[in-house]
Amino acid sequence: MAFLHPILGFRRFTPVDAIKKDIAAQLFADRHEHISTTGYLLLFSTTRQQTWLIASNHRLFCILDDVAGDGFVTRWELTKHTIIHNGKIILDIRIHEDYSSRSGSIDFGEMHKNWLYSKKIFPQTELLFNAFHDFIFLHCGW
Amino acid sequence: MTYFEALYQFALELKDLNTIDYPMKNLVFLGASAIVGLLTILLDFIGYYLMQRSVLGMHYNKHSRYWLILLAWTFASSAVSYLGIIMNIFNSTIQSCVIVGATWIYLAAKIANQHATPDPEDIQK
Repeated sequence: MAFLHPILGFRRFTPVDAIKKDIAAQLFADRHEHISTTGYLLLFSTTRQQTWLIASNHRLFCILDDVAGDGFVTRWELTKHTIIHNGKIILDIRIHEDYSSRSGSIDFGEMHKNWLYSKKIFPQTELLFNAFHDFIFLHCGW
Repeated sequence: MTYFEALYQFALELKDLNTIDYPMKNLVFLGASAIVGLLTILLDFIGYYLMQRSVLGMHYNKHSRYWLILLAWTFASSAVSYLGIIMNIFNSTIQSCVIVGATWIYLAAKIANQHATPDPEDIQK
């Protein structure tokens, strides 16, 4: 019943293009870093929260957008060299399906663990692996 | 006597509605309920702003559509009063306005919070 959210004070989700634009404006001191040509991956989606993976040509950002808060938040970032090497993903990705009936959890290396993903988006773990792989190599062009 | 004069006498001078010389007494009652509802939501916002806590369970932030919140809850307060009059649940007194306007908003916000997420959704911390 997301239609009740406005009268309970929740804001709307920030569109992903606006998130990308804001990240580009705030974080990129280096002119050689850009975000405009890369894609995005929606990892987790409920009526209240969305988790996005967004990448520049140098870094991967994890964005949490919670409508109960004032705005989206960049929760963590990883540099490219910690994710891929010699054309292969070296980041230790571990997926755990048993978090709940609607969500699983995914670990991005040792430092960023227990990030929820929505099973309605990725019903099987292989889909999530493949989506992340495609995101890194096809959409980000790394 | 105009509507606002009647509303003034009922809500601020606390006169008995039956003694007020205005034909549409129920409308005066609904107006007073709306005022109480509006005051309730404003007090809740002030409490949240000062103490970061909403008694009604609201989630105020800088992007909240405050005009919609004020309109919706004020109207809801008035609407419930109307239903109460139809059902003959309470007398048309100013005290009933406060009970409906304040209590109903508290109950309605709790119900709305429950139904906004019918099954507890997973929360990313």
